[in-house]
Amino acid sequence: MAARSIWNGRLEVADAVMPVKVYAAVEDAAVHFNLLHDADGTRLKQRWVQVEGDQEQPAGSVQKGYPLDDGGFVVISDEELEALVPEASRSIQISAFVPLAAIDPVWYVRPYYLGNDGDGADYSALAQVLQEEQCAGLARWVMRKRIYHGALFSNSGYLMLTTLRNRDEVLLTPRVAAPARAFDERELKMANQLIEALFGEFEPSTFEDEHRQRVLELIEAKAKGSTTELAAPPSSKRPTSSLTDALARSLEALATSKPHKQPDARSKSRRKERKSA
Amino acid sequence: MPEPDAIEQPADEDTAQPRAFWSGTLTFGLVSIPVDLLPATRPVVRGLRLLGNAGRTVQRHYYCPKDDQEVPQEHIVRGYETSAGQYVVVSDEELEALDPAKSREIDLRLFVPEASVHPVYFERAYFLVPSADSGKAYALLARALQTHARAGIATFVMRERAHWVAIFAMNGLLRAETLRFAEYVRSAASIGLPKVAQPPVERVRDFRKRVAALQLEKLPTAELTDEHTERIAELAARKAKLGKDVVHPPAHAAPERSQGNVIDLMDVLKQRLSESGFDLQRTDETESAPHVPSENADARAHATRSRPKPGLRRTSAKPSKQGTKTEKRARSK
Repeated sequence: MAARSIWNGRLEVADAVMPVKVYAAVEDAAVHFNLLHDADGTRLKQRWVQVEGDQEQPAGSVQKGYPLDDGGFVVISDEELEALVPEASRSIQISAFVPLAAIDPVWYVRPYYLGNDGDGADYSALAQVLQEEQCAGLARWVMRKRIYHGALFSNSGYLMLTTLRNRDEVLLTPRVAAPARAFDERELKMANQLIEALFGEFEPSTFEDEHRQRVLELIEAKAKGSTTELAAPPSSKRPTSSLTDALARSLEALATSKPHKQPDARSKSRRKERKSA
Repeated sequence: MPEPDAIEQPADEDTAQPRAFWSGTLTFGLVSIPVDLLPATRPVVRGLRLLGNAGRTVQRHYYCPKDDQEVPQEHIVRGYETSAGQYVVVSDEELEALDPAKSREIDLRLFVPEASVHPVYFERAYFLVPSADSGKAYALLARALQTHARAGIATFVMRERAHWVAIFAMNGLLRAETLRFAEYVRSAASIGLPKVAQPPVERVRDFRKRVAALQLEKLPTAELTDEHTERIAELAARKAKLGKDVVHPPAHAAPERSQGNVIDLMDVLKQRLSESGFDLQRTDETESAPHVPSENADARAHATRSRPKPGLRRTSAKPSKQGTKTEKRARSK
């Protein structure tokens, strides 16, 4: 069944404008729990409390304030906030293109598909160019009273738009130098050999979320009243040895056995069960 | 979007839990590297607060509707609703026992070209920090991965959820990017998007020109600002100047409970690295932490100086070594 779009807009790249529909690309994967009181299993509720010394009082009415340096706040009314809501628009504007590799993974939040809503020629041409050039468009749009930034890129001929974080949310990677004499050339060579011996393709479909199914099975078993035996905690680590020794033994072990390229690929039948659970 | 708020403020009860670090072992062949995961993102620290009476800050707490009393963390358990009002209580220990090895270990048994990991799978970014005595193996793996632009791939369990993860190196540091499982990413076909036709050659040429004309080498991060919060900060600064609607909580009202508990993730990262013998190097200003642009500096100054330091929501971690060993704390909810 075709999914419904969550928003319709116009993608604008310089003088080119193409109508698009926005679709969520991600399904919710979490098993959701509720918080309960351990004494009798009552489902808990949340409320706002105000703190007074070590006393907490339920807060009657709450208002919004912007903090000042001196510990005070400027109260901002709902009417004032309403006046600051960005002007509604259907335009997704692309201001720049950058190499895909120039966008650190830390910026990405959530992907959406853009569906072509016009004659398709512009859409497919742009998708093709982004694919060939391995680059992404930097997008800005206003949707449901909020300003979003995003990266526009191509995936198998389709355009995708992933929301990006604000810079205040992001910790960029500091540059470090390794401790002096941390490792020697021989160890580095062995590490490289080990990586190349375990080299393979990036194949997303070979990794499955088996854990979710186990969680659901646990819940089902407990609902039927069976008690579970907790697995013993994992035995402690492999015997410690020198780094050189561990690398050498790793390479030996690989030489005598075929590497597992897809350690997490298991039977596909589990997937079906999970979908129907 | 159906989940606009979920991006910044998870409303869901179980995602509203404290965000904990993960402590475990990164294994690579027979090499074991004890590490902690530290988030590379932080909640938005600027912006409006909810206030109670006379400017007192408010906190969210959980209470039992039966007796109207607050329920402390140690008396909160998690339940899965099997039918209306019926819950199965599941403990953290039971969840961890489902896959104890993967709750403690990221076992790298596959390496791929870093660039082949498609952004559609990117979920959340972390730094891997070495435990004090694992600096040597850590540095070795970081160098090997970075030199050949390889990413190690594994699955592991964190906060009771399985994650598929890519481990890669940048600037001498190991990073972890949790990935979405392919089964949770929709395909264009499943959404019902029509097949894409071959575009006319001249349209492709036109777009190549448009893209080239707007091409930059680096991501212009200065554009990735929270414009809405900036506008609120400007309004607040104007009103503060006029002394309009300014409130001061009474002196005896406690400061925000979270204030003493939040930590600066970057400080923790740097401290942990230097304990393991790593030297922090000067970074290009554009690559370091976000800075306050010169325009609106007045308004922004409030934002950056008066707030608690950016940190983990509702955790009691302190910027000490113990503060990063939060496995216990994560389970004590």
